[in-house]
Amino acid sequence: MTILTPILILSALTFILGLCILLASKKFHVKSDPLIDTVILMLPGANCGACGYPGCAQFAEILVKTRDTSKICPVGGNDLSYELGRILGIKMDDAKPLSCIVLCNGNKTTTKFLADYKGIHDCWAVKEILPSVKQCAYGCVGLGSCVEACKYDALKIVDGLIKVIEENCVGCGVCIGKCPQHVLKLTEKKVKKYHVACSSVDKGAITRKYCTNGCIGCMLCVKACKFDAVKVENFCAIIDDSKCVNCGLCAKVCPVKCIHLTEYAMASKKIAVKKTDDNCGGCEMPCSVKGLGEDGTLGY
Amino acid sequence: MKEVLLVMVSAIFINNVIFARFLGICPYMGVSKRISTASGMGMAVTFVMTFATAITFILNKFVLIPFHIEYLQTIMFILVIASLVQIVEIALKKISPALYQALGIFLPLITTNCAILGVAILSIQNEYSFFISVLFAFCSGLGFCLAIIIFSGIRERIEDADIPECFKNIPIALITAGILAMAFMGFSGLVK
Repeated sequence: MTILTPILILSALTFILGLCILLASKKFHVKSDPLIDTVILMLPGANCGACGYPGCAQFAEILVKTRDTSKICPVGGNDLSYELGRILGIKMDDAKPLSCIVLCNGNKTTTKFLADYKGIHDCWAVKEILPSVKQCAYGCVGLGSCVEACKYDALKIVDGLIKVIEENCVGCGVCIGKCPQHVLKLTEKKVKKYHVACSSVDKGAITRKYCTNGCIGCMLCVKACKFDAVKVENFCAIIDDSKCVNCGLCAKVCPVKCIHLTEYAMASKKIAVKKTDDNCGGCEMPCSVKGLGEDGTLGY
Repeated sequence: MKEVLLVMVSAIFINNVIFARFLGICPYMGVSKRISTASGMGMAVTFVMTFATAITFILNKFVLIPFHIEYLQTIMFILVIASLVQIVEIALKKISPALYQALGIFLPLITTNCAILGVAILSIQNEYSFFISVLFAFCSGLGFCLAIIIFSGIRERIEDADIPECFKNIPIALITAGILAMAFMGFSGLVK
C-alpha cells in the first residue's frame, strides 16, 4: 500500500494535468496565418539581421502582417522580392544588391609590421595594446575577427589582409561591426566598380614610409577624373559612386595602385548558408527551448 | 498585521530570491540586457509565482499531508508548475494577446525557473497560512522584479561604457551582479 498510493496519486495528478492542458488548448485555440510559415520557408534562413529584424521569422511575420512593399530581404535580392510579392499579392520595391569592399590594401609584403604579435588571435585583442599589428593604424589588422562572423564564407585572410570573395558575399553587413578598424564597407553592386583601397588619414610622406600600397593623397586621380567624381579628404582619395562612370582613368594614373577595380557578376545565385551550431546568437545564453529562434515568439 | 509587514519586507529586500537565496539566476543573467524585456520577465515571474504557490499550497494541504507522501513534494510541484505555465500561456494567447506579446518567450521559460519551485517549497517549510503564503510569493516576485530591473538598468549603461573587449557582455555582468548582491547584504539582519 505504501508503494501503491504514491504511484496512484502521481499518475492521477499527471493524468488530470494532461487533461487540463488538452482542454485548455482546445478551448483557447488560436488560428495562426499559414502564410507566415510559407514566407519563413522562402527566406534564406540565415537569421543574419540584414533586414533590420532579429531573424527571418520576425521579418516574415511583419511582412505578412503589414504587406509593406519597402520591406526587403537584402540577402535574397530582387528574385526573392519578386517571389514574395507574388505570394502576398503586392509589387515589392527593387532590392539593391549590396556587397562588401575592403578599404585596405596593405598585405604582409607591402606594409611594415609594428611588432611580431604572438598574443590572442583576435583583432580586438590587438587593439587593446597596439594601434594595429602593422605600422599603419588605419588598415586591416589581419587576424580575421570578421571571418568568424560571416555566415556565407565570403571572407578570408590572404597574406595578412582581408579579402572579400565576391561570389559568396550577399551584402548582409554583419562583418562591418566586427572590424575594429572599419575597413569593411557595404556598397551597391555594379558591373564594374572602382574604389580606393586605403583608409589612412596620415600625410602622404608618413603613409609612404610604412606602406607602399597606401594612398598618399597626391591628387593625380582628382586631376585625371573628368567627371568630378574623385576627391581627396584627409590625405585619402574618395570616389563618389553616383558620379563615377567607371572610365578607369584614376586607376591608371595612381602611382601606388590603390584604386581597385571589382567586377561583379550581377546574375542572381543560390545562397548557401554556412552551418553553425544551434545557438542563433540572438541572446547571450544558449537557450534550452529547442527552436526558440524559429517559432517567431521571441520577445526581443 | 505586523507579521504581514514583516513577510513583505523580508521577501522583497532582506531575503531577496536572487541576492540572498540565489534562486532564478538563469533568467536574471539571460534576459537582463534591456529594461523592457527585464520588466516583462519580472511581471511573468511574479504572476506565475503567486499562482503556483496558491495551487501548490492547496495540493500540499489536501493531497500530500493526508496521504503521508510529503516526500513527493518536489516532483509533484514541478509537475504542477510546468503544466500551470502551459495552461496560463495557452489561455493568455487567447484572452489577452497584448499581454502574451509583452511576456513573449519568458512565460514558457519560467517552467524551468527554480525561483518558482523554491518559493513554493519555502512557504510550506515556513508553515505559513494560505493568505501569508500567497503574499510571500507575490512579494518574492516583486523582489525578483526589483533585482532584475535594477540590474538591467545598470547593464544598459554598461553597454555604452568603454570597457575592455574581454570584459564585455557576460564577464562584466557577473561582476556587476556580485557587487549588487553585496549592496543588498546591507539589509541582512534587519528582520530576525
